Order: sequence, then structure tokens, then C-alpha cells
Amino acid sequence: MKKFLLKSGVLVFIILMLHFLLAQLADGSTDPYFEKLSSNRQESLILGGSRASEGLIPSVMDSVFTANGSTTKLFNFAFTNSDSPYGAVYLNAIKNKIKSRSGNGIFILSVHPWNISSLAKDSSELDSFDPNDESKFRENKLALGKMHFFNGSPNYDYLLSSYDYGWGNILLKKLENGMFEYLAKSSKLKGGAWAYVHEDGWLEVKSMLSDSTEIAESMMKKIEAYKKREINHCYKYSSLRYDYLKKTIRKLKEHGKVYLVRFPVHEEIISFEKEMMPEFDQLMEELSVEFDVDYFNFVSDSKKYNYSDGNHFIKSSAVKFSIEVANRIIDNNER
Amino acid sequence: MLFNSLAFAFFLPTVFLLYWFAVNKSVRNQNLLLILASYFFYGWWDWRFLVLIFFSSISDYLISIQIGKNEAQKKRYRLLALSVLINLGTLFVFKYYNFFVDNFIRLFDSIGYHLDAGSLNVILPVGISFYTFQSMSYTIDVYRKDIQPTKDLPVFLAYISFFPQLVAGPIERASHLIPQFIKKREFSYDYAVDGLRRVLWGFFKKVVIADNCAVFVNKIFESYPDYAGSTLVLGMFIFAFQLYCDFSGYSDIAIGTAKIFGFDIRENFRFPYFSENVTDFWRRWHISLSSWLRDYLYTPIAIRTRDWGTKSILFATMVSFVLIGFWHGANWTFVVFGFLQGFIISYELLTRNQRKKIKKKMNKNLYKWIGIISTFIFFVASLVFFRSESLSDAMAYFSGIFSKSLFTIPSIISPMFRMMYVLIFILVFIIIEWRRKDKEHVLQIENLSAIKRWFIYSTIICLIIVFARFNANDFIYFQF
Repeated sequence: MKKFLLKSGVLVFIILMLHFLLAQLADGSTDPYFEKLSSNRQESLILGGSRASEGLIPSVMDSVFTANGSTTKLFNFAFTNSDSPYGAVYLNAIKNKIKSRSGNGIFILSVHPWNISSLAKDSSELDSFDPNDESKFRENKLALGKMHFFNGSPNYDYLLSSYDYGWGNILLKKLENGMFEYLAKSSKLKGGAWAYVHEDGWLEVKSMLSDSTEIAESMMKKIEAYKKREINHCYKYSSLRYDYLKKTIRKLKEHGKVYLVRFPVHEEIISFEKEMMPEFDQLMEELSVEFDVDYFNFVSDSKKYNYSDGNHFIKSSAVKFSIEVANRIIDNNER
Repeated sequence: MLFNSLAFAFFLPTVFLLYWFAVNKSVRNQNLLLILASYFFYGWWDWRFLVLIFFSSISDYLISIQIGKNEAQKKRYRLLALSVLINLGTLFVFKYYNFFVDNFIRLFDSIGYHLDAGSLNVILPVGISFYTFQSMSYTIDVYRKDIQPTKDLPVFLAYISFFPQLVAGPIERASHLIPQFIKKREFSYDYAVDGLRRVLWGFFKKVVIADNCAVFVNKIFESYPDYAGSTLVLGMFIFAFQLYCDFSGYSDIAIGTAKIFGFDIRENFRFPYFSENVTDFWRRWHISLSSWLRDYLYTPIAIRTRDWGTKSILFATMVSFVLIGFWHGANWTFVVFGFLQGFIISYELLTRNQRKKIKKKMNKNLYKWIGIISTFIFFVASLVFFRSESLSDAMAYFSGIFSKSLFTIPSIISPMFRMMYVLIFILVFIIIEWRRKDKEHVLQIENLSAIKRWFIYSTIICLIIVFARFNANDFIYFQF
């Protein structure tokens, strides 16, 4: 027995040490979440789903603010529509991410019909589906719903509760990212995409498609896939999520200025959204008045930008849009 | 509690230390600890499940004692019927009720009568089919006088709820397992180490192969209309390895864990993908279920209908395999899956003599390889029914395969690198299994030098650390 315990004890110790070392290697290449959950508490945040996660670049916005004499340092704390629609889970994560004493922050909330709606299993059950049944909100079982600590590097809480891979995958992802970079540069592979989360929380999705026709074709394929899945017929407006959006705004107003931003998306996606929730803009206008916050609706600018799948910007458009939003914030503050 | 969870990583060493250090002086206390641990393990999913397993155990315990006391055949038979009714009744309510109600409503609708019957809003208790069958086999064995009923309640409760094999088997027999709960267990280093090796290999199969395969299988089966025929074929083959590694991986972990506690559990798989025919396949795949049905269903039917000649065997085969299919779940897809197995086995029975003649004439190796490949392809194809949500999905999947796109290069499915790893792992896995097929299990390596053994352990551990997927999937067989 002694021999058995000694040998297995040593083995367990080595395995634990190995995991400790691997956790130190985790960074933006690990997955789309880790880096966002491993920073310190922040003063200014970009919030919302994947449109915001990929579409607003804090470093670009910060440089616009700096040029205007402001020292704002934004952090992108947006995730995906599954993980971070407005609700108790996301509000709790946000509360744990803001510096408790901050009062001059900027908070940019990406809003669209999907992040104040709940998702049914399929369109056939939409009539009987209760979008306000909080116990069935999908984010409860996802990363933010399972975590207690949202800061600290490395974030062991995240790695233990929500990282779906062996921790050796951290190292593997680093190597894969390097490999992708190499293949992209040497144009040895066409197609495919990989992601990297920068230190400011911005999720950069790098695509191997460089030709604009290929990008357009790929985007149309993805829009067709959205149509096929009838995704807009699976969502139902949730008054509870709308209330949580209000609670989020109320909380953030204690820490600084809040801006609601509706991102431009491809026209096909706009038509999905209009069909799903025609009164959306009106709801946002009401919020804007109720809480005295600005609502920037960029939907009409949809043609100014390019998208990877109709929903998300390609990098150049993300840069352009980040400058646009930063300038709009500056203009509004000067008024 | 899942074997591949953090909770189990704390649970197992805790129970191990208590078992061998705190209660090791008394068999009774060891059994009580195992019951507590097993109920904790099972209640981790939902504590309400405990009521069901306790009720099922107690009823079979009491009924078996009564069967043992009574010599009157009629009374014994009635008691057995009561036990079977309770067990199958529970299974019916939790697993099959909604299926039958839905099908009756559809049947009556099709002939113009509308029935209003409510479905039951119940969750399927994890592993219910496994422990129900295990419990039922006990009363049948007592009835047949193959075993004496035990009056030791902790022993019986431990036998039904023994956590390593509780939720996905192997389905144990009382004659094999109960004596092990009665005698004192002594710690054996070699036995425990062999158990750990088994656990390690089981984990590798589950978290490295099965769960990585699952990513692609789920994508392909959920969106099969979007994929070319060649990709659908690939999906079908990947699923075969997902299922095998998932289920046999679970069995390996179960057998290995039991060994650590000093128990010997029956084998459930014997390298089934190298079977030369479907009959042989079912002697090597989910052995504990197929032998259960052989002993408690196939043989009694064959004996009762022995006057029918060959038809008796065919009838018993078809009934057994349709039930094997239906045991997996309340869906017509499983019935068809079972039917196909029974159909081919019946064909093999009928053509046994002709095939023997062909075998004599042909090159032995060629015959063997044709057998292995054709058996594998048949099983893989039948798994489309196993994996599909409905019969129409399965048929549509097949029509997707048999199209012009069958002759295209399969799509690369994202994440690209992971798909590459999966295919490499499957290939290496086949080679390893082939080379170790004469052993009890792949990691039976006690005769190798320490350096070689530790090299193998380290390699497998590193592969698990780097390539494992967690939180992705329950074990497939938990749903049964």
C-alpha cells in the first residue's frame, strides 16, 4: 500500500505541477474567453455579444480619445450572444469586472434584438416557449454562469470550471496560432479562420480569405445558413432581459457614462431583426430617455462596412467603426 | 457524477483512502461505505433518483427472500412475476411510456380516431436500464435456484448500487459479484496498479478519442443536408469510433476502478471491430447485455419453441435483437438498429454451412479480412439508425450518402487541426488495438521493464493533458 500511495502521490504531484506551468502560458490564443476573464478590474467597458467583442477595438478607440485629451482606457468585456445576453449572469460578471471606485468610466453597450431575447430549442415550440423563464436561460450553464471570479491571471476559476480542454491545449493553441500565421503569410492554405484575444479584450478573428470576392461569397454562404436554420424564428423577446438591460444601465451609470450602440450589420440580417422585433428602436429610444443615455443607431450605415458573415465586421471595418463610435462619443460630450 | 469530472477526481481518492484505511478492518463497514459512496455518486445527478434505486433494490431484496423461502412453484412464479413487473414497470414509466402514448395517438389518428392522452413530464434517471437489468437478473437467478438469496441487506444494496458500474455497466450477475461483497477484500498492489492502467486507457479513449470525435459527429449528423456524401460516410465512421471509445472507455474506467477497491468486474468488450462476422461481433460488443439477453430471453424462447426447428432459433434471435435495440431507447431508430443486427445474424445462421465451404476453398487470411471489413462496414452503416433522431433522418442521411457527392473529397470541418488529430488518433488506435488484441486489455504491460512502462504511462498522460476535451459530453450510454 505504501508503495502504491507513494508512486501515485508522486505522479499526481507531477501532473499538478505540469498543470500549474501550463496555466501560466494561457493568453489570448487560449480561447475567446480566457484573456477577457484574466485582466484586472476595469474602469471603462465595452459590453454585449460577439458583434461588440469583434467589432470594437479598445486600443483604436483609446487612441482617438487620447488625441482629444482624454485618458480613457477601454476594455472589451463582450462575449457572445449565448454567453452574454442581458440577464442576471452577465450583470453579475459586469459588477465583478468594474473597479468599485470608478466614477468617470465609459460604458458602451451593444444592443440588438437578439440580446434582449431568449432562444427556444426550435421554431416549432416558439408559441409555448416562455422567454422569461430565468432558470432556462442558456448562459446559466455557460462560462459566466459557472464562475465566481472574473479577474486575476491566470484565472483558475475559469480554467477549472469552463475550459473544455486539457490544459495542454493551451500550449497546443499557441503552436496552432503560430502555424496559422505562417500558413496565412505563405498563402499555403485557403479558407479557415482563427481567433486571438488581445490584452485589451478585443477578439480578433483572423481569416485566411484575403480576396474580397471570396469574403463576399463566404459571407453569403453564412447568411444562407442563418436563413436555413431559421434562427430568427427561434428567438422571442424577453421582457425580463429588457429589465436586466435597464438594471445594467442603472448600475453602470453609478460608474460613468453609458452609451447604447446598435451595430451596422448586413441588410439581410437587418431584415431578420426587423421581422423579429419591429419595435426595437423604439424600445431603445425609450431607454435613452428614461436613463438619460445616448443611443447611437448605426443600422443605416450598413453599406459602409464589410462583414465576415453578415453579423461581424472584418478587421478593417472594425477599425473604421471603432473610430466612428469614439468620435461620436467625443462629439456628444462636447455638445 | 461523471468519471471525467473534477468532482470525481476528488471523490475517488477520498473513497479509496476511507475504504482502505478507515473501514478496512470490517467487510460490513467497507460495504456500508461503498453504499454511501455509490448513493452519493448517483445522487450527484439528482437526489430524487436515489428514491427509485432504493425502492427497486428493496423490492427485489424482499421478493427474492420470499422466493427462496417458498418451495411451491406457483407461489415462486408469482413472486418472480411481481419482481419483473416492478422492474419493467419502472422502466416503462420512466423510459417507454411517452413513446407508446405518442405511437398509439399516431396510430389511432391514422385510422380517424383522435385520442387525448397526456405525456408524462419525467426525466429519465441515469443508467436506469443497467441497474434494473442487474436487479432483475438476481431475482430470476434466485427463482431458477442458480443462487441463494442473500439476507445481508448491505451486501445486496452494494451489489445493485456499486458506483463503478452503476450507470453504464457492465451489467453484473449476482453469482459473480455478490460473493465478492461477502468476503474480505485485501489490498493487492499488482491488482490496483492494473486497475489504474485500465482507468488510464479508459480515460484516453473517452476524453481524447470519443469526445474529440463527438465534435465532428455532432456537426455532421446535425447538419447532414449541408454535407457531401463522402463527408457523411466519414461522419458515420467517426461515429463508430466515438461510440466504441466512449462506451468501452467507460467500461475500462469502471473495471479499473472496481479493481482498485479489490473487485473483479466482467469484461464488456473484446476488440469487437476485429470480428469476422456479426454473430461474433455481438459476442465481443456490450458482452454483459448480449449475454444477459442470451440467458434470460434468447435461451428460454428457443427452449419453449424448440419444436419449430430452425425457425425457433431465428425467432429467438430476432426477438432478442429487436429488444436489444429497444433497450437502448424509446425510438424506432433503435428498433430498426436491433432488427438489422438480428436479420444479419439470422442470415449468418442460415448460411453457416455454405460459408464454411467457401472458407475451405478460399485463402484463410483473405476470408478473414473480408469478414472483418464487411462486418465493420455493416455495423457502421447500422449505426446511422443508432445516431439519428428519427427514421426519416436516418433515411435522409443514407440518401445523402448515395449521391454524386459520394465521390468527392470529404469537407474539412472546423476546427481543422482537431479534425486532423482525430483522424490520426483513430488510425493509431486501430493499430494499437490490433497489436494488443490477444491481451485482456491494451495496457496489460506488467511484463515490460519499468522504463518502458513509465514511458507508456507518460505518453498517454501527456496526450490526455494536451488533447482531452472535457465538459463536452456525457457518456453516450448514460442515456440508456
